[in-house]
Amino acid sequence: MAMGNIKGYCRPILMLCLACLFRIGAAAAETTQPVELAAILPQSGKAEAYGRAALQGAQIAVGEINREGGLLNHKLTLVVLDSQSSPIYAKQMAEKAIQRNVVGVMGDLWSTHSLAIAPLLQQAGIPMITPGSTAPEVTRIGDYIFRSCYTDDFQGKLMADFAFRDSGFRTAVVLTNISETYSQILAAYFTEAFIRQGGRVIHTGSYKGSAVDFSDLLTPVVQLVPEVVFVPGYSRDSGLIIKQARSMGIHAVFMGGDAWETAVYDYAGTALENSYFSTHWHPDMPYQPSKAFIHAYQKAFGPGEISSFAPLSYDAVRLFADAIKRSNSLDHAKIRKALAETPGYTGVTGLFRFDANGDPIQKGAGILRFHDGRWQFFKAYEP
Amino acid sequence: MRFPIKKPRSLSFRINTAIWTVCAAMLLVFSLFFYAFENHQRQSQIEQAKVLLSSVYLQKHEELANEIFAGHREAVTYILNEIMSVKGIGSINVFDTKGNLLNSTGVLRYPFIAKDKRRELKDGPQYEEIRGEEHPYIAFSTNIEVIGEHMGYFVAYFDLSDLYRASQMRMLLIMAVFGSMLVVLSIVLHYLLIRLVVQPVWRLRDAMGDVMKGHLGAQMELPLKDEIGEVADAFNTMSLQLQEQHRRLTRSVEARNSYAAQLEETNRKLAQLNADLETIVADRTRELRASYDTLQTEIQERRRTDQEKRALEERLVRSQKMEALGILAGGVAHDLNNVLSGIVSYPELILMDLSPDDPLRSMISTIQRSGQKAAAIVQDLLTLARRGVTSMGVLNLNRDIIDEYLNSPEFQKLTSYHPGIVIETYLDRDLMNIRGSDVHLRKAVMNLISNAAEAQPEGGRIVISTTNRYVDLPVSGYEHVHEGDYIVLCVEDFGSGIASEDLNRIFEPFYTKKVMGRSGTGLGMSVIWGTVQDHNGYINVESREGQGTKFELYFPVTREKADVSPATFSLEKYSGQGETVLVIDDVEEQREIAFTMLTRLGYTVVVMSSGEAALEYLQDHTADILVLDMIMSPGMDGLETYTRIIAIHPGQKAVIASGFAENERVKETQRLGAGAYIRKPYTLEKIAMAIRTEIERVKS
Repeated sequence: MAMGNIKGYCRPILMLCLACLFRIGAAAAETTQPVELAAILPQSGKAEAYGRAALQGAQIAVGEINREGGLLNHKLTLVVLDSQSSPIYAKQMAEKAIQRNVVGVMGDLWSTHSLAIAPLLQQAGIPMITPGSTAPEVTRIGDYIFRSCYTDDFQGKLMADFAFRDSGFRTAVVLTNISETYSQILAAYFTEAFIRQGGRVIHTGSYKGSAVDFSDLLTPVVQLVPEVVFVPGYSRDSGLIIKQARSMGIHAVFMGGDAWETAVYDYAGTALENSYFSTHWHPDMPYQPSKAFIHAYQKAFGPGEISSFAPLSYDAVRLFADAIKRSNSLDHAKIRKALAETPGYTGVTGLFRFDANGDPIQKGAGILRFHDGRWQFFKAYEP
Repeated sequence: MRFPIKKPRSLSFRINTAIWTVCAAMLLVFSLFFYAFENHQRQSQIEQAKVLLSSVYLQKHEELANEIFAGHREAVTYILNEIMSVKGIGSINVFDTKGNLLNSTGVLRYPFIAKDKRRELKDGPQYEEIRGEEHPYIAFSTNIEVIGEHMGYFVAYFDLSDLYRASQMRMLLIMAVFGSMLVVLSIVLHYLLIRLVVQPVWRLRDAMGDVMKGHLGAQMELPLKDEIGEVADAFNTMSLQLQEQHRRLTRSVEARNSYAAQLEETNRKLAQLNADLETIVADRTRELRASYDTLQTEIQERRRTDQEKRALEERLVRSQKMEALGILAGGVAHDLNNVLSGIVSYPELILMDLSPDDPLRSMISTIQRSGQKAAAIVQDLLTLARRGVTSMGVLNLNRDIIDEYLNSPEFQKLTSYHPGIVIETYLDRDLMNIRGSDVHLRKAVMNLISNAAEAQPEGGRIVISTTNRYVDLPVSGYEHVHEGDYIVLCVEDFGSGIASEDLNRIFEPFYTKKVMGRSGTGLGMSVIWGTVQDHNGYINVESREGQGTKFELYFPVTREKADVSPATFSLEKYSGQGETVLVIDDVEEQREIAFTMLTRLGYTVVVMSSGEAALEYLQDHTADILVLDMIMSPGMDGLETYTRIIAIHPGQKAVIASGFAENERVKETQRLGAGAYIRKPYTLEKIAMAIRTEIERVKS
């Protein structure tokens, strides 16, 4: 199901669920102060759909934790802070979170936004796990910053390998969103890897996110006739680009990164035929907790396609809970230390162990292919 | 009756002036209104531009702030370019919070934003009109602020030049349309006014003009019912009345005129008679006066002519007298010369033979001196006869004559006789040369100074001056001086003077008032006269009794250089080496003197008494040189003899010896080849030099 469809009727359900969760939490730990975990996620603006999916995953995790007895006899409360798809708002939300002295921050989603909050949280010494920011720079800001997703260097290399080795493409065009750090960084890693393999990037175009008409961007591509067009953008822009490219007579294979999400279909429709993108998670990927998560999700939000950002944020909340339990403390430094020393937590999206940067090592990825009017799991990659 | 006729087009000119004035005023008023309107229009457009700038900014500011915050410079540029796509926005500058330029698009680009400005912008956005050199702009400056987060500064420039240009075009267009409407309107007005007002007035004027010229009764057709039409009708009536009056007046005037004409004719005739009479009298008077004047002039002319004639006659008589006296003296002198030859020549020869202590020596010396003195008198006489000037050389009167004389023993003698005399000289240093005989000129100067001294027995001044003078107008004084270059010698004394009756005769020989015997010959003034005549010069004398006398001597100038003075004589140098000399002379004494002198000089001498004898001798003899007398009677003279001799011996060398001065026949002989001319009585020195020089002369 399309994400946009979720929006319409999900909101009241979401509110109801939150109310339920609070009540449950209140029953579990009546006497103590609840532990506040901030969720800085876009709940409006261009990243809204991603933010909502992520919030759903987090809510499922918080619900489960509280049902299991909370954290150190404290109820876990999710403080939702809307970063409004804007780095400035994200920054303000981070300030707010610091002010409330939350135990940790789960967020933000897009790398641009995470980069806006990470320095503040690092400085304040509050641990942060981003469920979706794949840009390597994010976790390099400091030792309090972690992520539950894989990184763009991995993803870029993966897609370059796939394009060159598996698909046999030798010429590529790369189209980048100049407003998004993610897009630029992924494009850079893809380009580097593709060229290293022996391919040629014959053109690099750039566009501004949220644009409506991409003909200026695509006109040179028509004449170049590349074999593959790599579009490391978000679903709206990428979908519209692919749709317009097909109508302009570009028959190349389109490939993208994790930001495409299955939601790219909402914008591109069947123009996506034979397009590929890499994803963090798919029900067909062989991770044990997936089934339980899908069950919980569908129970809470009804049937429909599940964005990979929901299990990613579910895992992020779970990681926090795991670290607090292991450290047996609500002290930020101790939680950070415990996070860094996570021994091998098995999440919905894979096995977690952090490297020195705070990036999960040995996390796999999957490649989806659009075929016969739907996204099909095409291939799994393990590092 | 006269109408003031002005320029015929003045009415139309005034009408046009009125039309154009109104049009110009309308144009001016319209322009002012339109300008005000346009200004208002422009202001509201500027306001619109401001609204546009601020709304574009508001639309994009959040996005812009986020991109600045996220550090997406490329995205910032992209947004700016999007804003730039709004028509009219020319440039955008975006600065960071410290005021340094982050991004810019368009032409205008400032590296930073001033601190004051930044402070001002905290209070809100600012608009600023910038009158650039090429483009006027509106600048919109503001803080970039989102949810209280300050991200930098945004300055956008709206280019007003299109707006201004459109405004100008609009003004021009409206003005052009309105202007051309006015032109059309004025042309139509002009046409109508000319047609309806001016042309009828012109016709009226033309009709009036006809009446003025005398076409009384002239009528005009003007089918107008307005004021001009009424004027035309009145005019027609008036014209007819005038014609009638004029006809009557003409008749009476004609009658009066005929009487007046008769009267006038009578008066005229009378006046004519008077005038004629006056003219006749005046003419007659004028004629009489003219003939009287002519008579007076003729009388004066005749008187003057008489005087001139008398003066000329006097001069002629004087000249003739002097000429006659000269001829007389010359004749005497020739004979005396021959007589004197013995007395002059022999003592010299005798003295050569005598021992220094011979008692006869003093007597013979006395004879020699007497002879020389007699010869001097003869020379004076010859000078008088104007045959005396034998050797003309180029000389300078100052140096060769006056200085020489003033340093001579003769002058010493003179001053010793007249101790009270003071000589003053004013000699022109640039005095030009003359051609003349130094002997004669010195004698003339000597005589003049001597006379001047004697005119002042009690002592006094004598002024001697020389000068170059060009006479361009003939001087008519004592003599008639012709025009030409002269040097003038002036000797002036301040003594007794000469009485005017004596002045005419002072140059006559032996006319003297002086005591005879002191100054010699009685020929002094005559010699001066003769010398001046021989030099083709003139004399002017001015004298007043009791005041003094001034002599002016004019000599024609020569451009030749002065002669080199001859070397001193040396007998050895001029001796002969046995060459044969043939002496031809009719006088016995002369032949003897020549024979003796030439033999002594070492020549082989042959003498012949006539030209015929010489010719006969030369038939079978030769001679190295001849000494030829010019005048030999009764046979052939020197010229004829020489002519015949050169027929036998071409190139025969000869010297000419004669008592007379050099004349035409001497010159003719010299042209045929004869050498120097020596005057008799000659000295040993002279004959020796002449013969030697001639022998050694290389035949040219």
